[in-house]
Amino acid sequence: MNKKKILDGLKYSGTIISHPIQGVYEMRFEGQGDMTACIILMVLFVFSVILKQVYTGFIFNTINPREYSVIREMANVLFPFFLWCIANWSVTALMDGEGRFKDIYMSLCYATVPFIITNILYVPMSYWFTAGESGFLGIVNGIGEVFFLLYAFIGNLTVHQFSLSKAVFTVILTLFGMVFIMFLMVLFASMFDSLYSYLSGIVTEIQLRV
Amino acid sequence: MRKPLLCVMLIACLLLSLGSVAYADEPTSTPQVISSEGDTSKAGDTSEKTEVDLSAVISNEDSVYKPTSAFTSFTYDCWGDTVQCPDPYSLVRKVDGIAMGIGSIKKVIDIYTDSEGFVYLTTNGDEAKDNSIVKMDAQLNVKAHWLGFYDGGKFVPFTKPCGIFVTGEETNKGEIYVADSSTKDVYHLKAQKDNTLKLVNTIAAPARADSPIISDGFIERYIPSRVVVDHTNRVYVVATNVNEGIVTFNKEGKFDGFLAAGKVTIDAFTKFMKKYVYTDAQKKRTATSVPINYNNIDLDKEGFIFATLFTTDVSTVLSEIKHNDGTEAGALVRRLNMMGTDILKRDGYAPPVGDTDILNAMENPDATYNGLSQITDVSCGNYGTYALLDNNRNHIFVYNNEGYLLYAFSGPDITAGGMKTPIAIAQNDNYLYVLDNNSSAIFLYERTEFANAVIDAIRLEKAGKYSDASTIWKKVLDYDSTYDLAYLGLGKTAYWNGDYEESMRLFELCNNKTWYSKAWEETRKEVLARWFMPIVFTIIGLLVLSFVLKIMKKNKLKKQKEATELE
Repeated sequence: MNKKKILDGLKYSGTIISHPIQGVYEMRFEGQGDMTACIILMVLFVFSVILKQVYTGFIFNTINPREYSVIREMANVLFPFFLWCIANWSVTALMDGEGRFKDIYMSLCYATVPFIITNILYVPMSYWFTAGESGFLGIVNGIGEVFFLLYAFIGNLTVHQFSLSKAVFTVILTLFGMVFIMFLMVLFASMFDSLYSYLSGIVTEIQLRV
Repeated sequence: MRKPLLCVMLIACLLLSLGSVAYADEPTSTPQVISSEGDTSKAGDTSEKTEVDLSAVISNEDSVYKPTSAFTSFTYDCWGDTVQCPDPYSLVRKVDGIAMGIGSIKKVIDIYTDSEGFVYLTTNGDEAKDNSIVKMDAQLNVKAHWLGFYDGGKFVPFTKPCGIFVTGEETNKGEIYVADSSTKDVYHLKAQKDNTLKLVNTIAAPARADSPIISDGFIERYIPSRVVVDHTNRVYVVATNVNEGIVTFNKEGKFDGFLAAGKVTIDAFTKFMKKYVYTDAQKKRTATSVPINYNNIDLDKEGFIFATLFTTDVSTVLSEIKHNDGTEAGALVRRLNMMGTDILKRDGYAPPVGDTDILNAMENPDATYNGLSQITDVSCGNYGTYALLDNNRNHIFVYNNEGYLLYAFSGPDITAGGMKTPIAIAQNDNYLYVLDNNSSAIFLYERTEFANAVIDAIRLEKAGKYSDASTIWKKVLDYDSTYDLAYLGLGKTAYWNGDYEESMRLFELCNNKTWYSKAWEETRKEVLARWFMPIVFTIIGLLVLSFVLKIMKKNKLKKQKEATELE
């Protein structure tokens, strides 16, 4: 829990960017990386996404300030983030994956680093370019997205020690799992809604009669 | 384990506060209010209006358009939200047949204003006296009431006169064209000195013999309803039940062809199939045009045709509104050249399709109407402006030549004596005439000071007098401080004057990214020109400095070495 460990954990993202497979392997089996550092990275990621939306230059800024909500945007990032982790954990537990929940989460956090960098780069660049030169920003954004997905995939593959084909199969299963979890959540929400209205109905009834 | 949690919470709090600060910093489309000291002296009425608008600036809730029984006038901002604006037109009076002195009118059909300011009205009914053409001056005083025309020496009464058009070019001034839906003829008439009409030519329905593209049963379907004539005397007829396009006739009155037929959009798969797989017989059967239903037509001041149409492709229109990407595919109005190509500019904050807000009942359960605007008529005004008439919500939309919505208004509500089912629209310089089918009357609207200023500024901009235009735009801002087009106009003036930073500020106020980008491109050039040499010199200087330091260090080492060697 000391400062040095967190700092080392943050620095470890450099290792993962340069040597993704080896880096994640050492994170999983040799105790490299740090949980607190990963949480910081995740917060930084959310921070960079919101930074990009809010502080992009006027020409490329597409948000409607009358309807924009920071909380909603945070949820938009964090909800799929954790949904992926949970679904992936559930699927790989059944498929002899070697990764624990902690490892799945940490590998995903380290994968966001290139996206954080491009998101932060995007903001000053958007002030410099004109509408006709939007391609440059598209490239920057595209690099971030592609590397994020690539590192997330490699990280997941290494954490579980899967072969390539098995990893692709797991990713597809995980996506189905995410949909399934969301379905269950909606189901529970509507069920609790019914339960609440039933109980409140009883309470009203008692209040009226007693 | 408590420390990282605390850390996360702290960062989250920071983030939240940052977000809210950013929210406040964000440029909104509601600009600061320009001083309105002169308001009270200029017009007491409008100053009150400005105050209402001020409250709309402060609270976003108030700027959302809620249908009321009052005279509602509005524009749409770049977010597609309704912004109230001063009334562009005021209702002067409602004139029916009895007020005109020609007896009650059973049914009004079409209205047209000629280049000299006269207003022509066609009426229909069951009796012979109901089918007539009425000529009026701009104030709607009857000048002539024609029940028929003279063909040779013989009087022929009108049967069902529908569309009317009066030519206004030097070559063919003052000739009247009337489409008769009963006889299926278009009559080319000329007013005589004794105020009677004389037949010049009859443009009959196209027959099978005229052209191979006339299909079987066309003549049974064909009912001419609206007509315009260009300066070469070519006749364009919009016919009910004809979905091939606009029917055109040459100057002798012979069938010429169809203009602006519905285009087939071919996807890649069909293209491939057509090229490699289909047999000749199959190729022949693939459609070369899709049905298109034009419902009204007008000729603008430059001789191009404005045609409105009913759309069957609602989803395309909705998606174009959503992405603000107006094209021909989702158009409710088209500007056609002689080849039938759509040349309408759609650069505004929303495509020119009428209402872009409250399109479905889910969004606004209080709204009386929902769905897309039903554009039933178009009327071209001066300086490239045109007015669209919406039959669905009784709104009238006025656009400029670039497709920006100048203003929209609905007139008073039906309970306050307003129109219920408007069917046709026409305009003179300051007057707007709307035909109401329900009350068989003409609603005469007069342009207000506010709209006069807007049109005046557009006129000056078209003439290239930008500094004069900016004075007028400032006047417009006195009437309505949230009027985006005024900021756009002022920004353009600043842009053409080379004051790019000021123009950027103004373009940001009216949320115009295209123009802002243009202005930034110029500003960036200035920035580059100013900082390029200093930056280059600094880099060179640093390089030289490091080089010199390196040499000095080397020399020092050398000397030290020598010194040690000496020792």
